[in-house]
Amino acid sequence: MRNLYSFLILLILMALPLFSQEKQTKEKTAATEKTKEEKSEAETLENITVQGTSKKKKIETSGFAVSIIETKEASLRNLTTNELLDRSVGVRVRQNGGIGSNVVYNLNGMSGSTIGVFLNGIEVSTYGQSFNLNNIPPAMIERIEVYKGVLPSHLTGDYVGGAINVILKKDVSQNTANVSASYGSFNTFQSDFGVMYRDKKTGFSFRGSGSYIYTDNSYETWGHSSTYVNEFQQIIRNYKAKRFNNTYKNINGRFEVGFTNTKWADQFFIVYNGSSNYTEIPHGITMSVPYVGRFNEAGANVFELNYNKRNFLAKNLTFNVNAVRSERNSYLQDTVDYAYNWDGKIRHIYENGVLVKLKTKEGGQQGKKVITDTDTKITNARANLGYLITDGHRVSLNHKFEATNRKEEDLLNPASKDLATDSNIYKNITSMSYEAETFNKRLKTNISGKYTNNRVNDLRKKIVTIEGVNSIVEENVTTIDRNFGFGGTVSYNLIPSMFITGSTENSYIMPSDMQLFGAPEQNILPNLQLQAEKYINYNLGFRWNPSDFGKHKIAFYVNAFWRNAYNKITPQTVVAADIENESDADIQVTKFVNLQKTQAKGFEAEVIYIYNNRLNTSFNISKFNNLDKSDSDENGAPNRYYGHQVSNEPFFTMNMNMQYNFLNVFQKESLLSTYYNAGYVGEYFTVRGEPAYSITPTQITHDLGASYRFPSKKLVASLDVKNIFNAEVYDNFQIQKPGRGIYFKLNYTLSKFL
Amino acid sequence: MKKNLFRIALFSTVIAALTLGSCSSDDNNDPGTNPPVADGTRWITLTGSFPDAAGTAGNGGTRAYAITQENAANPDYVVDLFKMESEKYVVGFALKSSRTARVQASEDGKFLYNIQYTGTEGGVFNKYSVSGQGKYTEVGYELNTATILGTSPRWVKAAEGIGVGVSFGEALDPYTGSAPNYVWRHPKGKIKIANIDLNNTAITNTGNIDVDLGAELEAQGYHVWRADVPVLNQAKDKLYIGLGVRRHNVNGTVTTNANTGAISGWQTTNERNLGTLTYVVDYPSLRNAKIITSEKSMIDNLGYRTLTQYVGTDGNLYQATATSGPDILRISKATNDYDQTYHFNLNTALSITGSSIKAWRYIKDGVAVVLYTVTGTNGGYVALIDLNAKTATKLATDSEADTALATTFGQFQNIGLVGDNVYLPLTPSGKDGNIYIVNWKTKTIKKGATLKAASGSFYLGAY
Repeated sequence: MRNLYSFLILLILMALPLFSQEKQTKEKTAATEKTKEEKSEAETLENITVQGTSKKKKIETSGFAVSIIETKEASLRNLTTNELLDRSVGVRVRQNGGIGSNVVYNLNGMSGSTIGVFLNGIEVSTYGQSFNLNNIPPAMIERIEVYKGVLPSHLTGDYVGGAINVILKKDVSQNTANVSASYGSFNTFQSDFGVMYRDKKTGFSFRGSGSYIYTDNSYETWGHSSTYVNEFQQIIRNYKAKRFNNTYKNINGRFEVGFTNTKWADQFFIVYNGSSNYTEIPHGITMSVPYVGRFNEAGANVFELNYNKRNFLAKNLTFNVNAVRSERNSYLQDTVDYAYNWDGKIRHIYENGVLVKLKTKEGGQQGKKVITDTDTKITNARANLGYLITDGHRVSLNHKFEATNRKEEDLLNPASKDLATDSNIYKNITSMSYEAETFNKRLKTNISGKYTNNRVNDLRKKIVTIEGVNSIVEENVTTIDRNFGFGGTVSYNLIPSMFITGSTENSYIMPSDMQLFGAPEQNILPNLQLQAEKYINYNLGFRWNPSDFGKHKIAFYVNAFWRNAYNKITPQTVVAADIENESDADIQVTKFVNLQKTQAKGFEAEVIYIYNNRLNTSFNISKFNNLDKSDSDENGAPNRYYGHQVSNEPFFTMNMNMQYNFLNVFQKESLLSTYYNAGYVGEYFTVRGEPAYSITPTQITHDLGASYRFPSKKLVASLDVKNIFNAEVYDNFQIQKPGRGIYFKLNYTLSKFL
Repeated sequence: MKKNLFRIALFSTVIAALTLGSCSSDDNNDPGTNPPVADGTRWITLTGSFPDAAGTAGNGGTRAYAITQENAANPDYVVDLFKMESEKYVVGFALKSSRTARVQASEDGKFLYNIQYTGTEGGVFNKYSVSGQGKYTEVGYELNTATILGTSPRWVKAAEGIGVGVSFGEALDPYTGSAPNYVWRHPKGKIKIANIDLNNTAITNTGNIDVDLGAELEAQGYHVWRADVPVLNQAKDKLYIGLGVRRHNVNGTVTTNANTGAISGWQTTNERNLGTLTYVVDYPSLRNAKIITSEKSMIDNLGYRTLTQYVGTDGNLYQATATSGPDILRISKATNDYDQTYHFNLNTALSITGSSIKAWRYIKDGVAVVLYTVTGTNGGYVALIDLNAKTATKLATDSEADTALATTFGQFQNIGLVGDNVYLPLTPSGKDGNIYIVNWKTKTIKKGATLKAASGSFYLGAY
């Protein structure tokens, strides 16, 4: 809570000067000034001599298996960033329920720690739970880059499954302001705003944006896992229940002040990014027991410095730095000791022959009563130096530094943390890449290497008893992990608009903080025995960019991948040893474990068809086999399940998106866009050996939407109906996701206001 | 409406159970909830478990397959429970459970009862009717036992038609104060009990025991850490609950996780001068908890996955100090307390040392069959014992010297009994084996049907 207040005060303080400034500046600048090509971190790597190609196309034909999601349309509609991602090729967003619930991204079968989620090239986790893809509205986003497998060197980290890089809006070329608000099913209110201002003379620039979300997530569930338990503890299945204790609230704001296109900087910004979250946790890893009163509050204050400059010190030398300091806090509470039913009422039971209210087993909803407060401080910085040796040949040097310190307080029993280890984790990754364009620029190659150094400084405390007197002995323990990885990409431009792309990588990744130490608010237990994963990946793709046949335009993309993972880190429901204390064994938590070897082979493809700029359809498909390739079991005997699909992972998805634009409907100069989206997830089993009871059936959802742009071009209204047939849909462990939802949104844009 | 009537009927059984006590046992096999089984075949269900995704043998789940007595006796008959086609098990039936199911069965083999052990539905009770081969049908209600027993419950069939689950929890942190001078505190704790009506599939009563070992023992650091194998006496008016006891070093200090520094408990000591403990409570009221202590053994009676105490033909309760000891103790039907004059020791009876009983079954007239391992010796062994004469006869099997049989014995759940024959599926983990049939009257053992195993998989029960 205190984070929320401090953040609100900061927000007001930062907003005040903005408004006063507006009044002072009377001079109306014609905002037609072209700021040439604005730079972003992603862009600095690209050869600036490439001209006339869109950013999307440039990245997509660079050789990496990458797709670009543009957010312009979506930002006007009732779509969340996660929904947008889920519809794109090869991406499966697995979520534990409605807005704000825990999310896992699966890129063609790779998930968890193998996937990096970045915000402007910095791990989004740096910004805390209160600023991530669950709550950043598409309106704040310029575009999203989704890399499958091999990553470009400016995103190097401990990720080999790929990465999602969200590029926030950077442009300040036009002075604009926009605001939107939406309301819809399950008492969901969302709103966002954005302001951009640049003083032409001095280059002084300001960007401000923010959003607010409130939802009750009070959707109905009726599936197998939706139950009612009577006083004899008999389970009535397919009970129609309305989710409760599922409120999610988020407020965030991002304020950037700096200079653009000056002599000394293309961009220089100092940024404050503040956010605050309130999340009620409605159940554990399964829906079997509803929780009441378990909630999490998170907040983060983040300061950033962005600087980039072409021709830095010397001609053709590009310098780019992005440094972030984050202080985030997470508070978890679970102190209600009655057991509840999905009707929201306390369950009953016969105790010594008398019907009484049922207490939970351990005093809290998930286990024991819990109140914890965790402070995490992160410094995360990335610097990039690029040099264009000669036209078509470029080298770049990247360095990434990350330091993390985490302190957890048990507020119910502060003394239990007296001996807690104080850990400082330092990550240094240096990478180099060489890009060449040869054969008349038809062949693009990129080779890169990275060196990772992870250091953990632990201050461990122990009680030592000498002659009956206890004292605390402190011990410094440093552990260091180093590894070296390398990779390369190639792209060949066969004929105009047609490219063949390929990439490969050999690299290690260390278990993440969360995998090692756990995250109580996400029901994840620690596992300190985790080993690094090793990956050898290959991608081969073919891309045919939009080609015109009169009014028809067609684009085609296909990519095949072959990935070998060793010691793959996978979440596993906790199996406490039989002989351990019973209270430790509880399914409603997971932890991460190493699997010996897995291999994923598959492909993803996308076809886009555009007619006369009125009809825009796309279809994508992703299918893969994620196979257990462990040779032997624990006794050294041949593994019976060699070559079997790894359970509990969807492996076949399809999406279709259609858009049709009507001009001059109702009013002249207006634009009505209609949308249709269909999603398909093939059936899969949650338990090995495919027993019928563990099937997650095929799921198909349909969404409809329309948005209407009024002739003034300032106001856009949109209506979306999601899951129109109210289908029963699941992502994880039979946790039912929302049924039909209707949302209405208004967007207002004020351009050239100064 | 129908449901309401049923509820009223059920509630009256609750009342009847509480007021009439043992008389309620006559209500067994209520035809309302047990669909009749087509023919009179005595099916013998075999269960087997397979490895989990991380490769741990037997931890992935349980399959069941029912065969006739003739099939069981025929060495040429092959059961291939773990047969796979492509990625699917094709023989038998998958009992619902992410990990090894905790299966019990009715005396006539017509019904299986299971509470799922961990997994997405951990703690859910299921009842299946048995119709031969892989034909199992879920019958009755599923029960949510997790709130009382947790998602990895300890439960057994306490008597025919009656299941009882127990769970130890709510232990206090064993310390107070702050670093470095933490002060030891007795963790106390609570045992929760749930009575499960196996015929009507309902939890009809629950109770709590506030664990109290008495000031003297508690001051010495003795504390309960587990409750297990709840079994009813012959009169069905007393419930016996096995206890796991550990001892803190009261002069020590806290223990911590070496990496995180999180406090994990208090230092313990192996010094023990306390006999086997059992809680006795009134059934079905679950009141008047009392601890009884054996003077004959200091090893706990914990079943883990198997039943370790049985009511004998003589009406006394026989309790093994399984699954780590060689003793069988007697609880007198007259006093409902340990018979301090009685002690069966498997070591003495076999003239060996280091034996521990991993599973056993009382047959009749003081005769029982025992599965045991021996410290320092590979494999797992079978013996027929006479609790009255205090003798034992080792029965030889082909796989007894196989190290992997010890893994199987560690997870063994149930020894089958039909008439004079005892059915023992013996497969070392990952290796083929056989059903062994022991005739307790003729004291013979013979090899029956062939059991095909698979890597990390083995058979662990006959019902």
